[in-house]
Amino acid sequence: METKIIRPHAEHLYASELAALIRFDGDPRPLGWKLSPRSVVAYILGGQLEDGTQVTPKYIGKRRLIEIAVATLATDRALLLLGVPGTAKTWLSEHLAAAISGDSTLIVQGTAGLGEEALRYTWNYARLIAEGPGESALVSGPVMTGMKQGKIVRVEELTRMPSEVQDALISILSEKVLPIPELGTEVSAVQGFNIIATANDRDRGINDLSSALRRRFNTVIMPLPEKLEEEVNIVLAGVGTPSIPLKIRGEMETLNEIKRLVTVFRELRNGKTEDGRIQLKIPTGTLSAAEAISAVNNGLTMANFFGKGKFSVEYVASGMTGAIIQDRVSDLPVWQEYLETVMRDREGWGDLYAACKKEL
Amino acid sequence: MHRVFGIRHHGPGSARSLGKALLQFEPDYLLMEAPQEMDILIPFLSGKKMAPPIAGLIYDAQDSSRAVYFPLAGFSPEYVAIQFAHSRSIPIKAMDLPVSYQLDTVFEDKNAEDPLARLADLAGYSDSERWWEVHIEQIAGSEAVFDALAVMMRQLRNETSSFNGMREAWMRQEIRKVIDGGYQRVAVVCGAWHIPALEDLALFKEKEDKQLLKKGTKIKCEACLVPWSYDQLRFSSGYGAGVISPMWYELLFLYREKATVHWMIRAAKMLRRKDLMASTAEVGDAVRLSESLAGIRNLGLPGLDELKDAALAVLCKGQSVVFDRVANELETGNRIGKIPEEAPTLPIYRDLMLQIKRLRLTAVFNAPESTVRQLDLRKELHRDMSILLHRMVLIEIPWGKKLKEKFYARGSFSEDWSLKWRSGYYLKLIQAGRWGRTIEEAVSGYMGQKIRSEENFVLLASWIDPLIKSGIQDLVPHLLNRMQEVGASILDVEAQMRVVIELIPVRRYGDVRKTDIDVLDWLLADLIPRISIGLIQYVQGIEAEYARILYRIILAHHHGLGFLEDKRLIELWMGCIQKISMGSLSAPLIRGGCFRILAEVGHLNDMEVRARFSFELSVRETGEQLALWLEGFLWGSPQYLIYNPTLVDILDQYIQQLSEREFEQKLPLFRRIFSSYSGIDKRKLFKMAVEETVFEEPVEWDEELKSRVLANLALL
Repeated sequence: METKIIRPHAEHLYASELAALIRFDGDPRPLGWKLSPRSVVAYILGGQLEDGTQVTPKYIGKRRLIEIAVATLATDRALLLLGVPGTAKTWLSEHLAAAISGDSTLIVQGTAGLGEEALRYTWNYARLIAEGPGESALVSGPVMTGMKQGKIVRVEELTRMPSEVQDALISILSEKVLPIPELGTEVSAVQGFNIIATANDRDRGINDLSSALRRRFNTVIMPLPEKLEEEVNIVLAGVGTPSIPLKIRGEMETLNEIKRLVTVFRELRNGKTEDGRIQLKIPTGTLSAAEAISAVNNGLTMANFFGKGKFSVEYVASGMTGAIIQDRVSDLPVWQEYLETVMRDREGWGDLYAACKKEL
Repeated sequence: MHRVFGIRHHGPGSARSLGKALLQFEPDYLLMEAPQEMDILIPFLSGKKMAPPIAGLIYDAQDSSRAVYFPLAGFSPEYVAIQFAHSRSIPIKAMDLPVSYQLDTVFEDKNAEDPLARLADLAGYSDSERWWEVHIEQIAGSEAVFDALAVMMRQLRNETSSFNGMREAWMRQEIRKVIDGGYQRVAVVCGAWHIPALEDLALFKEKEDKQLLKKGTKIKCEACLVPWSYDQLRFSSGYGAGVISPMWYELLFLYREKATVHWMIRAAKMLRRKDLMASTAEVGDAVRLSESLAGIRNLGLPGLDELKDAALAVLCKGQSVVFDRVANELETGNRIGKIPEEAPTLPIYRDLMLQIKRLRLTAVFNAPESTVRQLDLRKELHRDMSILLHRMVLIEIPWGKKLKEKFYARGSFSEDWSLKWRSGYYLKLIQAGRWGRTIEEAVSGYMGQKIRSEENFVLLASWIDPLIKSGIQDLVPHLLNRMQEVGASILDVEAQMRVVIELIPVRRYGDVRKTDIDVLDWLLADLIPRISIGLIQYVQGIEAEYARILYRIILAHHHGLGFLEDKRLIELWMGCIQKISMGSLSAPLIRGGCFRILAEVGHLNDMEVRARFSFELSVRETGEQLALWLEGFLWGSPQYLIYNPTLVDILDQYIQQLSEREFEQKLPLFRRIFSSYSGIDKRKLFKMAVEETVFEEPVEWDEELKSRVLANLALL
């Protein structure tokens, strides 16, 4: 039986698009870049190439933000993507790295227990003992590799790292040099090296960036989608587990249900109905487009394997309920209030209301 | 020979090239596109005594509010041309059709579109000046710009309106005249659009041009200079030919290649002034980002949008709220122009400037932030300031805003004003100029006209006070006569009372003359009987909420009447109060309040008051009404209660006989009443209540009830 990787890297998944973009790229490229900045923007925002190749949009939203992000990486400043969870920060950083360096795998995941060596380098202790300190015993970390090869390095959840570890980035970003005192040498970054960091607005307080580090980054704040239509498109683009037949995904009914789900998420998140008439309580969960995507994917999978192959209302209801009620004590009354004050009286929503009531 | 230099109005790039091109061309005569009336203003447009931006104002001699403005900034090519002519001492003349020919059409002419801005837009530039720089200046080089432009315009232009035709015919005639006058090198500076119509005069017949000009009708116009501001130059201020960002244009004019750096430094400085960190290194980084952004957007140079995006990402850490705090000042810049004293200007403007100088308000006038001035009206200088500020408010120029004045402070010697001059006030001043040559005349003219046409009695009454404070007493008799004409009969009683409240202090403090007092007294003698009769019915069947509002007015009215000498009027009023206090249909709150008024002025003796009080309290079935009656009676201060222990007694007995349930229902009411009293008064009442009860009923006192009552009282 054929095996398939669950989630291929962006540079593999979109290899043909990238190849086509390279072919038609007439603009100058910064040193170490696979594509010109303008083509990178085209890769992210999508469009059609001269030979008719369709480039799928990877990010749906403000063009300005993507332009600022790409332009930043073309200067020697690093890029910080800031935003609440589910605003496609990680997604964007992966695609930027794939388009610029052709490699999105150089990644440091920020956690509370992260040590400085994860950023710099570690040792192969067997070799270190056998051969003594030397280049061959050195195991380079993602940052070091990125510097040597002139590639984009992604640092995820920068503010989760302890502050001391964060600050190790300062000299790397300003001097573009990583010293190895044990060997008395250093690694100098090659053109093309840069860092894309992501950080979460919500837990900014955990390990806030020192102003010295902050200064090395240009910040792009990733917004929640402004319009309902825009968010529905984002969810539609994000829905697509390969195991689900395209047939279900494309149906009008599915589209309609996605629209309703996104509406509910937006209203709860914003604390008011779309028409601005009714004030609502806000649940604890984030309810961004990312949550909507996973709720829809969840429902579609269930519909495919357990249902009649139709994304019917009970699957929407169960996905919705699961995403909204994160904490039974505080979220349940919020959700019940929404059902009774908003959904019950909304025209054409009777079926969804009934299905949601059943879930409780 | 003549040579046409096509320019972009308010285009800094254009202005720079024009400066260079004129140096090279060495003209012996300069013609520029500006209405002929500007000629008398041009001599004043250089030197140390003036500073751009300024505007030529050409207005209908009969009505200065019908006016056309010709603003010039330091970066306007026309301004550069004037400076050049003055420095070389060569003649310069405004060659466009006089406004007197076109005043009527100017207001209708809507197609003042800049064809170059359209081209820039099509090329994807949101900042048309950058398009100009990249596609005209950089490619052609300063000297060849004008030739390149001429070629472009010849292709762009096919037809123009007859109005343009008339203007261009006039300009051609002017050029012909100068050439006939023997000048060898005539430089013609005009909007690029006109190039094809002016460059080759042989293409147009002089006879036809003359024919075309016969059609015009003339209106007598005058011209003067007024200071202008960057704020008014902005497109968003409603000025059709305005620019998006005057400050950015100034930097482009002054620094050209380095304008982006200067812009970013300004941004950083402003952020620092708001206590936000923005280092020099970041300024450099931000400029580089803007250049990188321009590359991605396929623009030759970063424009305003790129600079803003870069400042946001680098200096403001992505926070648009931070950027918004400086955005407006950064885009506009708060430059205000200056005109020489001897230049022709609107008489009213000159008058204002003289007064500002005399009153030593120049620093306040020029301060960018608002300033608070406390005026002591016993000093002559301060009194004059107050008069000026009041006058300005009356001609709708709220340069000074009077800070809230308490009712009792009326007629006192001090006034607090917050002053901030806004550039938009110049326009209003010009409009006010149609009413007179000085501020005083304008106020008289403007208010006189307003009074004659106003039919709203209350509005008329509200002007009395400001007119007196503006020292325009002459109008007060007219105003009072007008009020008499309009008549108070159509007003409802509340409005009538408000007018009386307005009028009485005027009579008391205003230094009105004897004749005016007669009119005032006539008005009062007309109003007060009407009120005294109408109020009795008026207070019936009204909601409790409105009764509270109305009672406040009744109280103010009552206190006001205390200053009147006319015994008959006061008697009428007190009769009205008495009737309300007895009338079973009167709103209970007002009934209670009026009863209190009667008790306080001694209209009733103690016995009567006590009898009445216990009578009211004994009616038990109308609980809510009683509550409102009490609220009215206890309104404001409990002094009356404190000095009448017997009333406290009656109140106490009343409370004690309430059932527990009734008591709980009444509790919020008492809380509402008592919470408005001062702490000392509350303690006094509390002490009285506790002592009395303990003394009177020592035997049958229920301990549990006592603690409960005390606890509740403590709550109050």
